[in-house]
Amino acid sequence: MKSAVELAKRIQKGELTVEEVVEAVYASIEEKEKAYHCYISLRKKEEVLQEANLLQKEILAGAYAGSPIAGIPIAIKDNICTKGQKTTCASKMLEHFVPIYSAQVVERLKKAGAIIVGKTNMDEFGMGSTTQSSYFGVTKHPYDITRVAGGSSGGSAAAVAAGECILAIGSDTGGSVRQPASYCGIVGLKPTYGTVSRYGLIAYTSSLEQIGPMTATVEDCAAALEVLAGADEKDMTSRRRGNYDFTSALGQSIAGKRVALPKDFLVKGVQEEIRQAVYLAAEQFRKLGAVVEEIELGMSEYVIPVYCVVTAAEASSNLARFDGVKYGYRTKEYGTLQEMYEKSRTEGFGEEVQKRILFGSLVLSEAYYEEYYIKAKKLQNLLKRTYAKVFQAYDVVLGPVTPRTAPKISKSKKDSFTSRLEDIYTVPANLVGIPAISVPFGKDKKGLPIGVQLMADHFQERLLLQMAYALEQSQGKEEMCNETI
Amino acid sequence: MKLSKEQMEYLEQMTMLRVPEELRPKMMEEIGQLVEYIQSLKFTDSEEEEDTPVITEEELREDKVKKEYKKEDIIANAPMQREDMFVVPKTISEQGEEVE
Repeated sequence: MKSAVELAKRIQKGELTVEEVVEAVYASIEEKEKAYHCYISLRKKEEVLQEANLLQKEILAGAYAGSPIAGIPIAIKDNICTKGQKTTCASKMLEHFVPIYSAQVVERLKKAGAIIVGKTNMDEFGMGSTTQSSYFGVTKHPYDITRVAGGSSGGSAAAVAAGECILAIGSDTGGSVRQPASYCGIVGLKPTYGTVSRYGLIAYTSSLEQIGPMTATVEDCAAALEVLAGADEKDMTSRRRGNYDFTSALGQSIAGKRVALPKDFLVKGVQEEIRQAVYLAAEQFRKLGAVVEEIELGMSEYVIPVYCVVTAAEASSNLARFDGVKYGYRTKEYGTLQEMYEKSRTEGFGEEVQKRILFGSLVLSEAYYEEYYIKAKKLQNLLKRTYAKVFQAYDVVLGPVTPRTAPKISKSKKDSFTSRLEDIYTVPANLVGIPAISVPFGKDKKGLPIGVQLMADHFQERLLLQMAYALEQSQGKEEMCNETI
Repeated sequence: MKLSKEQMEYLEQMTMLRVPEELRPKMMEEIGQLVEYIQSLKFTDSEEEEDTPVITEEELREDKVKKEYKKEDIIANAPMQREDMFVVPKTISEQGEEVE
């Protein structure tokens, strides 16, 4: 894998052209895409090279002097709207949908001089953690094609790991950026809720999701976040921050920083090599002068039930817009309007999506609303207070990203709620709204990447990235793919 | 907990879905399992936590109309269209009654 920031610097200096970088990425795509299936749609190479040619001239003329990613080929998860380019959410429902506007993040990336190569594979409407629910087929793990790349941003993670793009963006509702990043050995960040505009992100769980960068290095991640972050009047949940500097603290000493290591994260069910990796990360932090203390976090037994209720409830509301009238799939044979709605939705949505919509409506129905939905919201608030207390005493929380490394692609559809237990470490950051990052940290005996997770308090991305950078740099650098840019 | 036929039909009515016969037993069982799984919420002590609003009133913006899109673009994704209209099944009969 190559660093976006390093390549962009070389382009600015005239040591490399944008066309050369694009050629290298497309060479990787030609070689590997058939095996990995990272993309749902790819732009034609000739079209991208034309754009690269124009961009190259503009960069040399100084048009993108301040941008850390000018000339960089990027991949966009296919639930993020790109004007004039199909955006499917990996669903039959939106198989032919072409947005008439681009998401705010896409506009920002273009303004920074990035080039979009294609739209990446994902679980249908973001519901899942393996891409197995994609209408267009599963994304395979670049280290072992009998395994999943994770999800729901599996295509984005695999594309970065395989060199089929230099940088990607995904969306994270319960771990969908961090988990595939961890599986594939790349960096993945979920920003503080409200940091990145959700305008143009096709909604699944509006109150939890954030778009985040998926990159080869922590420095790339910080640079990409500076491009993506910003208040947007088209997304009223986006916050105006005091500071958008996420890069200047990288490399600064972390001596005296306080790291919490929840004992309950490592008590049971974690693959031994992952447990060892977390303890090793703690040791590395100590060597760098940080204070690492074990704490009891508690509250883990209801985190997943709360998450199940909140996400299903919001999904059932957000996906009500897909009715076959103004866009999306419409059934071929129908009589009444009712029949058209029912058949279009039942034929257009996959099984997992339908299940979550039905379950979501159940928890919002009159008989169960108080008992499940309101209760879940109250427990979510309790979780927020628990984490707030932790951050009064600590700068970051260290732990695993997932209980195990990338699993095998299953022949039968995985049972959805046992696979939900896999999200136990990532979901809290979404429920609380805090930033969290997955940093690659070694491999298991089978050679599969392991990631460790850091979480920080709201709007503390600068500190989070500083700590993540320190951890990353404490290991040797490793090239996954041999590329000769 | 096993989902009853009536409960399933009620949910389908609310969500405008109609799960095919051959998939219904599995779907009902899986939804029942999910309900079983979240039972623990009922018995967890949460105190009386106020739900924090995501947006406060001061943060609302003015409701200004900005003409941003052309009609042809908006209608381009329609499954069925005629001139600048979306075509749907009849909802009002010639007698002015709602069609079932």
